[in-house]
Amino acid sequence: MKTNYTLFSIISSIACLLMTGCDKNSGTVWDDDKTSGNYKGSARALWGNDGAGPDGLLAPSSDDFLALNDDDLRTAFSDGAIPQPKHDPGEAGSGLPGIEGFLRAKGLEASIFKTLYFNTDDHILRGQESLAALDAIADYLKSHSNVYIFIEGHCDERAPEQYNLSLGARRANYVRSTLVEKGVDLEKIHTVSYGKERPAEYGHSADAWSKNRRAEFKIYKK
Amino acid sequence: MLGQLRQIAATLCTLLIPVATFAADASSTQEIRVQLSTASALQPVYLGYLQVQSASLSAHYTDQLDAILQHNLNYNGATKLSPRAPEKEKILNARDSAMTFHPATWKQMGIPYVLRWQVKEHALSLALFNTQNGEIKNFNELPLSGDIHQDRRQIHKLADAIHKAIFGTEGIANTRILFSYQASNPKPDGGDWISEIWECDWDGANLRQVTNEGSYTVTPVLLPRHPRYGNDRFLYVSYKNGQPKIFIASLKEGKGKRLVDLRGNQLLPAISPQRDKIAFICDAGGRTDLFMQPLHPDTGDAGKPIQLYSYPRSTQASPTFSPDGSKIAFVSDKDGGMRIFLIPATPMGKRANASMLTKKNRENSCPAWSPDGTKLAYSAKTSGIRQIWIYDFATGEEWQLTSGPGNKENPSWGPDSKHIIFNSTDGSASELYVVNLNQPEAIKITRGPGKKHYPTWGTR
Repeated sequence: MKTNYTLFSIISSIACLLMTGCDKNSGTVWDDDKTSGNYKGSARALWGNDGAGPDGLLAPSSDDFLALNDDDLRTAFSDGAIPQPKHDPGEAGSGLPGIEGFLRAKGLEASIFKTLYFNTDDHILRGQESLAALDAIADYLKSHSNVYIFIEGHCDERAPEQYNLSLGARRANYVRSTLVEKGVDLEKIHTVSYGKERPAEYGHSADAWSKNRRAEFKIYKK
Repeated sequence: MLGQLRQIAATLCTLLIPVATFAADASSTQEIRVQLSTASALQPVYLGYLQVQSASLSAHYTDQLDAILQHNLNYNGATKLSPRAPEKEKILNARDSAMTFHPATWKQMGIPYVLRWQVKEHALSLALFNTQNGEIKNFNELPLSGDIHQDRRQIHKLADAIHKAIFGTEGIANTRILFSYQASNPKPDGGDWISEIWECDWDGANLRQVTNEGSYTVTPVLLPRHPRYGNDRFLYVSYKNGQPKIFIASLKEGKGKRLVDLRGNQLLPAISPQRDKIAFICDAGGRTDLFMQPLHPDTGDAGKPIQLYSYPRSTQASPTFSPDGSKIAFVSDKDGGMRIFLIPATPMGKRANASMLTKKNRENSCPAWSPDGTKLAYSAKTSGIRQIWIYDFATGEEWQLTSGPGNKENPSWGPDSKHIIFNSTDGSASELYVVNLNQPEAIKITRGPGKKHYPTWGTR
């Protein structure tokens, strides 16, 4: 009951404060009827405020997470570690609807935002057609600053399903990095991975598989 | 759109309810063969017919009690029931107890343990007779409600207590499974699937829908037992906000709240057995990286997420923690193919040296670390079919556990480090199967429409 929870949490908070000096958010995440306490409220980093590790290595930390500082992770090519837009669509501050507000392109845009296809196990787009399509998409986004897109990464059914969830994200991010590298504002592009959970074709043939290894675009015009 | 999804979910719930009643009898399949590398001998047990003295309990009900205990004693990977026989029943039900509990009689028949049980009105009693040392252990007056859905739990607890009395460790009969249950709902513009988290007993009974998001939810992970909240909490990934995000919920309420604040896609969560860290895959940094986030083990308050492993031009997936929480095994394609690597769970500023564990097969995925720390279970492509393999940390050996048709993935260990649940896909059907390292049969525990996958096995 609500009152019992409140009383209990007051008592446990006091007890906690007395014993461990933990902050006001304690007892929140595992409790059913409270919102989650998270580091943004309490600003706790793992090793202290400057993010220095036990041997003094200072990792460049973005606002949101403590990043690795290996040199080879900083490449600015299509594999570049390009940060995600500041806000998730639908979140307060994003100015964008949730993903359901991003729709399949129609009319003129449909010919630009064509579905792109990948080779098996590949996350890089190859072939003249794909590369030309990426150029066209980049040009369109640069000249229409009110257009925001979601890139969906999909896989065919053959790879293991857990790995496929990750590979879908890999494909979507590759397309995103390529477009950003061509000059598109990174705030305009969001990614979503569906793994193999949303096939375009339900068959079990090589033909069906080739139609499922894809990046699809959904667009929103502000 | 969300309103439509909710309607679809409501319709699907009514469609799926008939499946929930297939309940008790999990039938074995001949198709999935299990190879045993280090099988220990199963102890023969004689379980007598259940003697019933009750005006109100039906034969159907008591038959089900019998079936449940038989299943528990036949598939715990430790005992095997000897066939019932009239001459054994005579001894078991002899008027003179001295005849029943005469060690030599049973030892002659090669039976080390005998169980005699009866129901009187609404109470169940059982005597466990150890024929080797002559000891009798009594389990008296276990209350029965008469509702089989509730009383299953009593039989599971009894089976675990019997296991403990014989072997010193509790069995896994009274444990729960969560999984993702997907039903297809084709729309004119291409397929849409609804997927919710469901729970069931280890034998597939007591099917119950846990989440009701009307969206797509996958990869549930049951949290280790918490001193205050018990086994009631789990993590999962939901697409209800658009991008996949990690949520935490209670089994009782099934209403998730966000756990990880990072932008982008959050996938494949794992939690340390100490409840003090989660690991997951996220593209907040622009690649599909392995992240770790410290948690307060009691309150669940999260510290700042840490990018734990990232590698150029590669995909990471499927982290799993060692039992002491100090190491993580995960999948990476950084060296070509999909291999399982090992890194410390402690962040070091720079990327850790990842040591490759799996060398035999080129496509390895979804590792799960056994609770006792000795093994990994994972899926590897073998002659074109994904089979469940075991990696032994002591010897470094990899051996194939399953064979036969059906792509098998997503193994999850029972708390005894002996049982494994996984899903096997043949064509478009995906069902859950339970195996253990001591028995060659794989038991199918789900059936009917809809795809069941991503199982997770809870702790005791």
